[in-house]
Amino acid sequence: LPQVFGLQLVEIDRKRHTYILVNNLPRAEGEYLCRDKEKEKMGLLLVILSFIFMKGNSVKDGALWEFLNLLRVYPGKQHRVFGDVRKLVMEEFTRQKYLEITSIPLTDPPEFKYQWGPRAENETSKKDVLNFVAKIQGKDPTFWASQYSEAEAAP
Amino acid sequence: NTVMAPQMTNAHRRFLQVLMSNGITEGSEARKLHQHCCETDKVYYAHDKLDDFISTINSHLQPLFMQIRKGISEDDGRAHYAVVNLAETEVTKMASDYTEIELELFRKTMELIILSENGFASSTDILNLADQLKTKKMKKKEAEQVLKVFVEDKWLSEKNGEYTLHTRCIIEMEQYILSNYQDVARKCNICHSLAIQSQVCESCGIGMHLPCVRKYFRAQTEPRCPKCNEFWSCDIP
Repeated sequence: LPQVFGLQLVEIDRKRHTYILVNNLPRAEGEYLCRDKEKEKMGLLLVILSFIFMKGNSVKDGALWEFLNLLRVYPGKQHRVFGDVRKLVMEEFTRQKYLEITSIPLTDPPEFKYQWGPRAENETSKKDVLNFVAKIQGKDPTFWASQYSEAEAAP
Repeated sequence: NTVMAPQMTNAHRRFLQVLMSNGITEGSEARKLHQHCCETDKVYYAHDKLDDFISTINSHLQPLFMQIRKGISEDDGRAHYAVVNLAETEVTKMASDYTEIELELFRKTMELIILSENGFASSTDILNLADQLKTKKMKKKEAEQVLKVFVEDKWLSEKNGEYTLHTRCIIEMEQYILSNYQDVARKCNICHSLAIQSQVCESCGIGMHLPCVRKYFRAQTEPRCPKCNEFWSCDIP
């Protein structure tokens, strides 16, 4: 796989023998690698991953949707680009292992929390995400001291 | 004497990844991509040597029963590239992307298109097929949606409510179609490749691709069949 396709097979779940393919090649600029709405979906995903990381690696679904509402993305409303956003976030992104949803025990009505999924951990890094946030906010990554040291410490 | 196949570089790998992701890539896009990959991965870019670049990749794909194959579009005569599966089992490439019932609909649609006179199957005829599937009946609405997906994924092409095989499909399935539909599948008299859409001579029955017809009759004052010399009755595209 790496020799011919430049892809690597990574095991993300040793118990259930789940694997993903990760791109070995250095990331390139340009429009080439995106089909359909991939680019836009990845944009939304990156924003969500950033939010989760900056908030301490875990956020409640209520908080996530409140944040997305600020970006005019609503769970109940059909989005011009993303369509059914609730489905995209809760089903597609979790099925693809970018996000992980776990239910919070002893909550009534049941609440969920979101964390990075194993694919997100393999395809990007806390460092990249922090740099992204820093770029948008026009600040230096060291501005967020605890996130910065966590990102530097990550493998 | 065999010469050692040149090594794959990251430029080759990137090119292959994009080709696979696109499904089918038009010639000029492929040339631009070749340049982009060589520049990105800092590999020597030999302008106009795309075929050599592809041969290198193909020498490594061969043991994996895959190839990058070039095919000509029946619509505009332009070259296109696609990564194909060489293992000759039916519709294997699509096998993991679609359900069994969707594959059955595709197989029947493909058959309808091959057996048709002009290489097209009407949406009505295909929807009727959906009703007769062996696996499980498919409702009209569902079949319409599946057809839409086949068009998006470039297996079928739609024109005015009629469907034909996309260039990608022809490149991938040509061998399969020629061997399984030997008696009915038409071969172009000029280029000898499979012809799904074609113009047929009214007298002797030979077929030609529309772009091939255009090229062949360009130099002639009076269009005449290359085989039987009768006047060519179809409109020259």
